[in-house]
Amino acid sequence: MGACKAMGHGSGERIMIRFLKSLFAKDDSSRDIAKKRLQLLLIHDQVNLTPEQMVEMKREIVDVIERYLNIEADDTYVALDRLDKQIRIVGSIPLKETDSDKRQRKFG
Amino acid sequence: MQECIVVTSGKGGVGKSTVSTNMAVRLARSGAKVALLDADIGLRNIDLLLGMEQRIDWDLVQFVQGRCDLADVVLSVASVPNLYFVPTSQTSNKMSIVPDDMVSIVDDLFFDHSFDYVIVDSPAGIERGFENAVAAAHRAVIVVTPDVSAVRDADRVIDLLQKKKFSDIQIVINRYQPELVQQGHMLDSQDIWQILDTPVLGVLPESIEVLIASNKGEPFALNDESLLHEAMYRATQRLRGVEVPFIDLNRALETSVWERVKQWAMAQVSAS
Repeated sequence: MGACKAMGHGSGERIMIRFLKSLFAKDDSSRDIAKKRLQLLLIHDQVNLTPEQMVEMKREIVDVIERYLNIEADDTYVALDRLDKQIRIVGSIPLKETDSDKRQRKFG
Repeated sequence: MQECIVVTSGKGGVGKSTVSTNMAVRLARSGAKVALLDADIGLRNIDLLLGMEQRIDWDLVQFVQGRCDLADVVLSVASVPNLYFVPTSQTSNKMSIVPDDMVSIVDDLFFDHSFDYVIVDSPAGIERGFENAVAAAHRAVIVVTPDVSAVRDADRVIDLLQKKKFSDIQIVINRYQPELVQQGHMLDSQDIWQILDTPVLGVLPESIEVLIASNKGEPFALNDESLLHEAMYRATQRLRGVEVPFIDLNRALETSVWERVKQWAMAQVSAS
């Protein structure tokens, strides 16, 4: 790892070039797209769940939350992602708009 | 210290044979006694890269079948003192050797022939040929090119080796094109290092020298003048535990652009 730091990357010059590029870049370069795709792909390769298990796990997660909250079950997103070398499950599960009203009635 | 190093990749065509051959040449030129063992049964190539295709009488499969001695398949490489080549069979299939055969062959190379390094060139894939190639190895060098399929396959192979309790795994990034990295069309060495989370042993630039060397049957590591040779030299230094800085290939590119401008200017001056 230490050896890689000596590879000559991350010099001020390169950071400046990257910064200037980012100002003018409209889309991600194919290099960035490749990197993001690989990082996600390798997570799935490593986690080693079958597609069936994956679908089942996502369904159960949504089911559990649905037991406690009134959610938009058709608009949920649960997936594996990676942040700072840590593989994690991220999700977005929207509540139905009426839910907050109900809660106010319940606790109010 | 005696070490058996397997050079592998998962994906084919990334330059395993080129890397293992030139790594072996470089190690031998640094004074170590090196055996380069072709484990790609049925699709041998290293004989061509060394220009030794006419010198093979016996091969590894015939040794395993008891038809010759091990000494008959350990050929000295005329152009490189200290380097020996162990050819495999071009006609047999991968099932004609089992992993235990490889372990005893490599043991014999170390004890009867006192090699410092045995470099094993693995076939592509993760089946029997791969199992044979890694069976006797202590360390692994994974060759990867900066494209998504090679990186994915490298990750798979690293995972398999880790499950086999390999603790010493390093990657060589081959066919690297700094101009494409700068244009945003190629993963850079740091991207690959981050994705695979495995130490980088070396970064080899794309070069026409590889093709020329294989045409001639003379490994590029015999030619001291090139950037490719320098990159390979540094990789083998690191393999031996010597810390050396990485070549800034992007900087090398800038210099070559500068050189081109200079040449253009000189041409203008001499023309006027």
